[in-house]
Amino acid sequence: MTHPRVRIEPDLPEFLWGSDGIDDRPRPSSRRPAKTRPGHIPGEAGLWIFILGDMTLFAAILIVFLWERRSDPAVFEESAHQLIQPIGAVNTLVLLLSSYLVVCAVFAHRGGRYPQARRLVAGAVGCAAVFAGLKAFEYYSAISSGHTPSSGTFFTFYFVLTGLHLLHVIVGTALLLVWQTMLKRRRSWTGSQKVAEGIASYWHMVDLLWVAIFTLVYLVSAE
Amino acid sequence: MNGAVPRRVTVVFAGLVVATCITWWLGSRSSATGVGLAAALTVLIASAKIYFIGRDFMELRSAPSILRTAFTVWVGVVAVAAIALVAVPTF
Repeated sequence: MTHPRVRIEPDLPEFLWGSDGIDDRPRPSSRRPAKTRPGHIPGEAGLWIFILGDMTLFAAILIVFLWERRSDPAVFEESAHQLIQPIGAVNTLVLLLSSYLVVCAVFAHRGGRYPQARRLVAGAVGCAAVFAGLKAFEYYSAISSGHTPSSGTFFTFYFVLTGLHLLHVIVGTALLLVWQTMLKRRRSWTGSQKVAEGIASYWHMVDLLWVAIFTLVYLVSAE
Repeated sequence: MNGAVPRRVTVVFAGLVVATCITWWLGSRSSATGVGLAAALTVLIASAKIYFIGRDFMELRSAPSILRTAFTVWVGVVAVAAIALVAVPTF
């Protein structure tokens, strides 16, 4: 009959000796505390179900778009060349800048620098206005050239994807304005952390979705 | 916490701007190259951009592993599907 050996490590606390008889091998990592960092969820946990669900909805539409493109790549290429690519690229840069300003605003709010945070959120709202203005010009240009949602598969996808995204931009802008009102009232970070982080995460999702739309609809389809 | 923006975030922002310019350039040059490789590379760069937006802007870097994994899986699955659809020729 064998008994589990108990190894005594004099330089370790008693509870780390491994005397439970299950595993008496010395563990180098046992000198350090276990990695039990739970992590921090930005905003409410429930919001992330919405964000990931929304991202999946857009992904599904984009995958179907690419699938349809395979059946008639020449028509998709010709249609994509009708889009004003520089506007799409500038809008990508504008949304990236707005996302960066929102990150800076979160840090300023955390640090209690309310006027700076307000200016940064105002900057992000300004970027959203530029995005919407350029998008309106793009729609005007497309429609006046005879391209409508019923002009073919490519333009149906184009108007559905960019229209849904523009709706997200409008909702996100309204949320940014709510955040700015909170900053105007000097709501402390501890009292508004979940709301501010949730609004910031939503705005980054808007940015992230545009990166995917610009890449697949404006760039890849034109190739 | 003094609320200062980490330098890493600014570096990521600069990287995203550069990556956008590269994909735009690739998109405008693609008709010259005429291969699905440019399209696949464009999708790959865009996927990396999306990953970094999530990790550093959305602060998923310090989020619970289940959230980080869900986001990473989303980026990976969409990237693989998109690359397959743009790069694999139709038979």
